[in-house]
Amino acid sequence: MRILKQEDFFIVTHGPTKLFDITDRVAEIAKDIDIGLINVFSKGSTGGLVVLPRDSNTIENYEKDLWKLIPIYGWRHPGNAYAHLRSSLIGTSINVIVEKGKLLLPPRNGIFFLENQFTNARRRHILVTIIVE
Amino acid sequence: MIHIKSFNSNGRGAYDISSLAKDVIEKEKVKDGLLIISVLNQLCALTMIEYEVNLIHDLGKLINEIPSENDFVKLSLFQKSLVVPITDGDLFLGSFQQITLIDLNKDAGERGLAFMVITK
Repeated sequence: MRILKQEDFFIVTHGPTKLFDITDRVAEIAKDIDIGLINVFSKGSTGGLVVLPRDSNTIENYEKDLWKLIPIYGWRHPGNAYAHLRSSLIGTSINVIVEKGKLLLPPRNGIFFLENQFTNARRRHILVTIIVE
Repeated sequence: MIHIKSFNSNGRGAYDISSLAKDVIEKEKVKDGLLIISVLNQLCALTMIEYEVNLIHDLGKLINEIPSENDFVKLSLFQKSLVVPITDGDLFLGSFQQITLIDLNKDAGERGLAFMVITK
């Protein structure tokens, strides 16, 4: 088991509670891998990575219904505690098996970055690490 | 390359264990790779969060308000292991992103942690 390569990229986000599909960026990095495992990691303590169906209804509903998970108000940490707590629960790291250059995800699903911050044009740094035998 | 370490916990709470992870990658002299961290105590879990006193209080409140009295139910919403990339000899983490041990044991004591490094 060894690291074959690491590649990073940036996305520009806005939020809060907006999903950004990064599947194609990740798949491009993994396209030449016969068999392996990829780790996708987003730097920072207020984002998240989730696997979801790539259809607009699911995305809209997720963005709407996520508000119920953790209240915005009622915390000691100033301003964005809810964003940190969401990130802590949802996580900023995902592992996906790759076979013959394809990400083994549920059919028609993808990898999404979740922006939890009240923000506009924020750069988010994502690192993909490929592990092979 | 597996390292077993112990952390001295004061009991129920959340603790920044990033320095233990950094010790491992410095000892292994890893430039680029992945660090896998597993917690070896049944009433502990791992997460990443800004380790700031108010936010750690908020994390405790969140855990306390999970609608179950069963600590195993509460902990099952978090992970027993984390994967953190290593780049340029350091953890690929944001400035406000610390590796944090959630401990739901009442009593103080040593909590075991396993670290594994994967490199090129």
